[in-house]
Amino acid sequence: MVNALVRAGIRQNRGTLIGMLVAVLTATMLATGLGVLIESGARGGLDPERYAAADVIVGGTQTFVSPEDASYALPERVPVPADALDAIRVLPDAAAVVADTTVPLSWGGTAIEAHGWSAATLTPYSITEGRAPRAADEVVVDGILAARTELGATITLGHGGIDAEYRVVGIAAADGDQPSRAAHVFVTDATASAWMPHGGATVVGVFARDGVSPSELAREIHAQVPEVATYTGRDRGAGEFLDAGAARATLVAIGSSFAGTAILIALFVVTSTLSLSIQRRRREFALLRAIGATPLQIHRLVAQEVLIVAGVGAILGVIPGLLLAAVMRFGFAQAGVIPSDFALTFGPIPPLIAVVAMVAASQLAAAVAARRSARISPIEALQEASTTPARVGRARTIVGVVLGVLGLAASAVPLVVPGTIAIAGPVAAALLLIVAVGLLGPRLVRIAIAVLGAPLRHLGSASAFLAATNARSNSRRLAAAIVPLALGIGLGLVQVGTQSIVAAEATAQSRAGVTADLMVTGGPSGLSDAAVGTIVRTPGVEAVNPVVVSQIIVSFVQLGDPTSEQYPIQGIDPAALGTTMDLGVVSGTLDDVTDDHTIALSSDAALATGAQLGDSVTGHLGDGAVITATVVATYTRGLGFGDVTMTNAALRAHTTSGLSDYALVSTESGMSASVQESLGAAGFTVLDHRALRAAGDGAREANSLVNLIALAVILGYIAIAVVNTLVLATGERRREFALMQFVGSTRRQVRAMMRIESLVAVVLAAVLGVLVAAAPLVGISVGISGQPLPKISLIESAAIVGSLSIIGVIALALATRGVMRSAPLTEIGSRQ
Amino acid sequence: MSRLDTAVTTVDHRGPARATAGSPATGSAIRLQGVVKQYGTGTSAVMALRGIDLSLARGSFTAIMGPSGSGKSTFLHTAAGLDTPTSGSVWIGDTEISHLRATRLAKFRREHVGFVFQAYNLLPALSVEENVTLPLRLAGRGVDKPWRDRMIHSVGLDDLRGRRPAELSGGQQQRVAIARALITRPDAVFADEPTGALDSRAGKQVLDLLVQMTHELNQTVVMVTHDPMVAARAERVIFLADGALVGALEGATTQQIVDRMTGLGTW
Ligand SMILES: Nc1ncnc2c1ncn2[C@@H]1O[C@H](COP(=O)(O)OP(=O)(O)OP(=O)(O)O)[C@@H](O)[C@H]1O
Ligand SMILES: [Mg+2]
Repeated sequence: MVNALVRAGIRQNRGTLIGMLVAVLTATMLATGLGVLIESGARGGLDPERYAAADVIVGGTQTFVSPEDASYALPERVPVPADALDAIRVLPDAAAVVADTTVPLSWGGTAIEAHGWSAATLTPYSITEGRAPRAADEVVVDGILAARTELGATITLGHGGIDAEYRVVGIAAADGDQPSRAAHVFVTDATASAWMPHGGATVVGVFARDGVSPSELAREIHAQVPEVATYTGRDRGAGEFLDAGAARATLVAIGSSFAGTAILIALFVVTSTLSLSIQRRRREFALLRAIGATPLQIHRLVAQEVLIVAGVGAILGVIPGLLLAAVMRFGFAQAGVIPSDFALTFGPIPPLIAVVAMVAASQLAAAVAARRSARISPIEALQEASTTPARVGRARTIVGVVLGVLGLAASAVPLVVPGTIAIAGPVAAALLLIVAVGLLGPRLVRIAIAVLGAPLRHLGSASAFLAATNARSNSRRLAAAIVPLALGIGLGLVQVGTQSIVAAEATAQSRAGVTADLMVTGGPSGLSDAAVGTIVRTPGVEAVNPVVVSQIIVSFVQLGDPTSEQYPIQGIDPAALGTTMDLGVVSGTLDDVTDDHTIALSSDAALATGAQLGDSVTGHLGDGAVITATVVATYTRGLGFGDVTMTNAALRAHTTSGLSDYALVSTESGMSASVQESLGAAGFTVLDHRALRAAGDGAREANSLVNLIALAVILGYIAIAVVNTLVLATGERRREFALMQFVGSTRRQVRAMMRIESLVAVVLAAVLGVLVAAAPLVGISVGISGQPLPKISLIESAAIVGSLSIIGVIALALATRGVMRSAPLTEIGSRQ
Repeated sequence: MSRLDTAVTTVDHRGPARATAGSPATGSAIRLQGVVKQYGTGTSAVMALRGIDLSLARGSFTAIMGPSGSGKSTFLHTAAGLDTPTSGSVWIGDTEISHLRATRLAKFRREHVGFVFQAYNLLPALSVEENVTLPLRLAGRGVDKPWRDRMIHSVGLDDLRGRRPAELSGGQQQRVAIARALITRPDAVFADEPTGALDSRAGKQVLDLLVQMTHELNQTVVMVTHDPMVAARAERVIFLADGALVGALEGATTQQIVDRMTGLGTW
């Protein structure tokens, strides 16, 4: 029986249901987009270039899984152990095994990659002109570089800041597609291994015997040497390009960190749109109840209607969702967190999950909304005016208040617990407060309107009076527009604010902590030991502190559970520290950092890991190697320089290039200018010490761009949701507007009334949003910098508040205009 | 205003009772006993009905009159099972409906009770024909087509059966509502000012239809009205004031009703 009613209901309430459709469509779009990012993190990537010929690519395992099952992408190349290489060589199905290591060189300021000539078969490259390299100073260049030089020419290549001359003896081209992500030169195997930082190979290409499939071979390799990672087919790109692996990890991280917030907001939007659209039909449901529809029948009616509408909306949302993923990919590539040629995986699973989740969510929302309609008293059908039942359920209020209080309490954690770990409190607090505002929204809005409305009513303007009165009696409807705006504002402020607080403190620390006069870098590839020696020997130099930065995953036990945390780590020369770097040591001394069994921790890291002076700490370095070291010092400037410090030599043994990133140089008094000059002449890049960026600044910047992109996507979604809600809520007022015009208001007055209402809504949203953000931000600021006043960019904050406010005002104006387009008579005249 | 406790009256049967319904004990179609309805609690409490005892015989046509706010609509809702009384009992046929839960009550209503309200009677999405058969659909019953066609024909809407409510005049809408109220062959039909929103000619048409059809089908009808001329069509007029029964007239003329209403004060 219900089917006919469902069909008729959908036909009749097209306007209202379109609102619901749009809400579900956009929510699905958002969920699909984020889902594609996550799936691409698991499967997407780059096509192999340099290793296109090899059947199986073998590399070290680039992920580290901590005891508590957290997975980290390792930032440095993990070498393939020598015995693993031997084990692979003797596999009967392996026809050829070729080891390779990429050596970063610089040529006239640009970064290029060098390999031993034997590894040319992995592409394969073959000589088109000239011959293979035979002497130590001979090179073969690829097609990209051939354009810059010619056969027989002498070129200058730099490794680690030390230049040498080479003769071009050959030009090579790939048999298939030419690798384009990097330019390559080939040297003799002997020269290449002399450059290899850690001796062994980092990538091994294996060719299968005829009749053996790559995946079979990969299985055999894995069975023989389980500690290595194997890549076949398209996946070989992930083995070739370390940044592809990092990009994957980034995508998973971004996708999942935003998925939670996005789904929360989408649920809220879908639910409130749905209950709004169902509420508009109260009288209809009351009439059905009067003539004998049971509550269950009303439930089923609503559920089926919603199923059809939400189903259509969800399916329509898939394609835009895929486009959204592509747009976000573009944004992330622009931000530099994923390679610009990183390809997304468009599998069926993310859209499927998004559709199912959104349909399920809307069914849930329908059940809640229908509960109200099903319980409706049949006599309401007889009442002339459809009033808004503004009551917020008691349970909802209680949950809202509890979450709100918890949120405030969590914001205050940094007041009690010292250090950066305490900011986990405020970060969680922001989410708690956002949910609380979502739940308490209508009630808060009513209270706020009572306060704000009083002066408006006494302004003497008819429009202002009407606006204030309407807002009071329709607070629920207004709340449906205010709450998403407030959530957007709150979310945006917390997100942007947290980043700028951290960045400001990090910069302040590194400014205060660098005591050297100059900062020296050696072009794109870093500084080798030889280069550091050259700097040390430069007249006028007092001390040289070579610095290398990487990441360490520290494992520790917290409250009885194994935990791990990734920290930036720097490798320095403790002997040169005195005049180059001041870490703000609070206990112990950095002089005791002497080998790979001694480290220093920032006070934050010490607190988080529970390690004290003399304690032993276990961690995994960037290449996955385990170190166990004694804490010999703690210092305050962890955010500026990295939370863990060890010796330069010990850390470089575990980085891809084995080179230092830069050197801090102090000069004898008055010699700064001359040192700068002679180092410049020797081919180094010399910068003022103020140019030093805080540890992890680059990563933070990319990260903040990423967050801004994701934030923009969520805010965009909120904007659509608000417009949609307002159009829906305003459409309900056709009769009211028509009646107002009949009793003598001009169209202008109606519009003025709506403008005032929208201003009220926007102001309330801004206030609520700022309140949601304020407590967590103060908490975070106290935790990070010890200052209660958060250092956040006023322009960014104003942009967030302003853009959402403008969206609100425009949405309401458009909605009002749309509603008033029809003549008042047709509205009043239209029966029911 | 004094309460009138002797309002229980029986009215003669006209025609045989249908075999499917009827309370052998009393022979009444609708019976109220000590019905009290209070809105709100505490100081803001409103006593809308202050203990109504009443029994209406099968096939009777009763009009309810009284000043605005006297509790007429409340009485009708309570008697029809749209609302439950604060205390007291309501029987329709053999069933005591005052203690039924929402679902049972809804099922009872769609089988045994018909309604005609002042306005907003119809679902805008449905055609005339669909609106008329809506109670049957809700009950999951098949539509008895000859019966449906007879109902639509009786209210004179043969040509308009495919139209939507928005395409009908007010009088036509009320006639659809009457057909819908009778489609289930209910035990009782309740009408709250069914002609209140119509001009006098359309009002008379609708009223004639209601009287004639219910008479033909031997239906029990309870109708709230402000209009003495309308009330005069009823066999019996019951007067309410301040939530209590304050009198009844049998077969009264318009003038008698007017006089009685004037006696009750404002109306
Ligand atoms: N939902 C309600 N909440 C509180 N009081 C109510 C409610 N419904 C009705 N009342 C009050 O109960 C009393 C009776 O109302 P009722 O609607 O039954 O009067 P009525 O006789 O039908 O009046 P009218 O002729 O104006 O329609 C009135 O005083 C009214 O204010
Ligand atoms: Mg009434």
